[in-house]
Amino acid sequence: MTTNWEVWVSALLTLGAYSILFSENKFFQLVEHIFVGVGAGFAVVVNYYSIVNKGIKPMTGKGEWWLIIPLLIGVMLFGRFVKGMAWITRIPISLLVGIGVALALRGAVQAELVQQISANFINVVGKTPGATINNLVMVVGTIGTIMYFFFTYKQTPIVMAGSAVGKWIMMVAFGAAFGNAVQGRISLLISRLQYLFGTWIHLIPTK
Amino acid sequence: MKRELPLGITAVVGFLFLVQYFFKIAILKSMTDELTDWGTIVSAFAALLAAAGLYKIHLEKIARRKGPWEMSIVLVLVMTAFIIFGVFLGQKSAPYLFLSNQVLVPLSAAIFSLLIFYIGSAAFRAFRLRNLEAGLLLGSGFLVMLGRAPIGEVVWKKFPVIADWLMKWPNLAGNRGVLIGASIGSIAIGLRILVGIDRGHLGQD
Amino acid sequence: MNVLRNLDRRVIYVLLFLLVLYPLVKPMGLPVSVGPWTQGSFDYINNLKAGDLVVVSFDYSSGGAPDVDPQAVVVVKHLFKKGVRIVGTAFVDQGVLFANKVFDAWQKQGKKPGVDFVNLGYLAGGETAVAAFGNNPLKAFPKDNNGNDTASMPIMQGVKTAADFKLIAAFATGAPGPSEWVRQVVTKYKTPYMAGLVTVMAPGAEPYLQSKQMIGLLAGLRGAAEYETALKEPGTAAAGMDAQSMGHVVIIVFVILGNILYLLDKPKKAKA
Repeated sequence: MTTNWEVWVSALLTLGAYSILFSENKFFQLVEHIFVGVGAGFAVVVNYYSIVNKGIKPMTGKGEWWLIIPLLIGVMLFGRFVKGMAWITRIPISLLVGIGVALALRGAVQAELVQQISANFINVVGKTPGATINNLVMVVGTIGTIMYFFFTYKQTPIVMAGSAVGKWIMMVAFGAAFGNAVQGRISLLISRLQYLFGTWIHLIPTK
Repeated sequence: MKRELPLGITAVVGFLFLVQYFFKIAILKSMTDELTDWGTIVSAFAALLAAAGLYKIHLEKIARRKGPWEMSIVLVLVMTAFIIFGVFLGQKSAPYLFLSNQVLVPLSAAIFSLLIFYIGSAAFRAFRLRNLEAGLLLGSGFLVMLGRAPIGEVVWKKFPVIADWLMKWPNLAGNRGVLIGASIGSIAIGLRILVGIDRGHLGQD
Repeated sequence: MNVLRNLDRRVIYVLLFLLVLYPLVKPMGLPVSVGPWTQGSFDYINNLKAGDLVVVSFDYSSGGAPDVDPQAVVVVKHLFKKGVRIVGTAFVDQGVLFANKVFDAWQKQGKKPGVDFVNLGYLAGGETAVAAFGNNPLKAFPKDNNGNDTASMPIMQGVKTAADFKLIAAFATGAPGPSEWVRQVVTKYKTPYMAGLVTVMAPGAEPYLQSKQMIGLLAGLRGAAEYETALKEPGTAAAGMDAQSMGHVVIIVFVILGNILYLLDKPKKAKA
């Protein structure tokens, strides 16, 4: 077992987190609040340095005076803490929304809509029967999935058949997502077990 | 003024970006590049605002002795200490590195790993083969799990091949359909926000 | 059977905990084969030349780091072994912690900051920040993580846009992930892009792989283990693969047992 006190702290915090599995308790509550505290504290520090390196230093050191504008707009976010000034928060929010929405919108048209649809426009008949089946699954499955979301369209037999195929394809995709979710969460548990039983109590041989 | 100015900013900024996309005008490009940079600076303030909100909530709890207020003291102390270490002692200082690497990192992994226990419990109690759809979901989940774990390969060499096929074709089709649908939705909502029809982000008066 | 029907959830938790732990204490040494996703990434990196410039983006938080960090570690190892120069970024705040760890370790082994690599640190803004970086990396990061000017660094000479990089390898646990990188950088600058993702995000990346908007993908700890196998340097990820297998088996057995009980109880419920 290690004598490094820092490892002990990490290990005990991990045990505190796992204690919730048995019942709600004070130890977990403590760990939970520490977790939120460190997470928020960390965010403040890195974002503070982001502002300094990105805004303040270029403004004062390189003469990029116009950076005072985004810095002031950023400060306006805190208007909500001043009585009667809450509305001023809307200015930075509207700027962020304008930039974010426009960037995502123009990106989505080309990168997602055009390229994804054109990737589906293929010659379905492949070089082998297997390739043809794969292509069919892709083309019919994609169209079926889109048809499943035709809520306002008249439900003709073709639309209903398409959306049934879409539903099955989505179920297979969700199953794959479930399998992957299990896999990912087990990795997290493995890392904690390696820490508890390797780094902390040396039961697992560490390299 | 209180609503029109923000709506105007969103619309003007948004359309600048859209016009720049279709017409390659040098001045517009430098304007939108500069605005994108501004966006990163303002976003950093947004993260500080979130922390300020957290302070407000927990200081109020402490003042009113509300709920588990002793825990709020811990939260405020830890958060304040972290900020002081990071800003005044620097990101390479020992106490800052301790709180980052020995508290934040392991604790996050531990809290997020709790989910596997709940998945385990749900696997036993909730995942039922009730109909065809549930069968497809479970079957595909099983095959992916077997194919993506080394043991599946030892049991039957074809498990990874089947898992790869499931991921590469039916999963592709399902995800592509959703992606295309979602992008159409996001384009529509984006346009509604830019022209001021959707204004939820501005909050209530 | 009644014991199973009334099984306390905590028994399930303990079983899961112990069964995943067992192969870590007593490894079985199951083989890990390299899948097509990982192979694509490995081959691309293996064909890079010494001196090529690539971006490694640490866009992951601590919550998903055990799934993604081993990928970043092994990919950086491969890149440095090939003599490739690395521009490190983080578009998720906690990513900077992992970037620091990786680059500090390599600096101790002789890699020079500003020449062989630069750790640019964190830039706020998510998708907006990714776009800013793509448009002008030097303007997006005027300073590196230590506050040094980036414009004067040898590694950043000649970098104008994201098109000047031979590859972007971005490791993500959420946003910005493949959607954001493809929307803002890949489509515009045609830079080859590979992702390392938490496993749960991997199925969603498949459309981008098939449309060749991505050149490769590492999915979770398994992806890292496969990469370690391809590189012939098994590390922490490969060591976890036996436990991964056991975890999957346990979940499958739980589902099967639960369904056996369900089928046994079904006729009774129908009668009632």
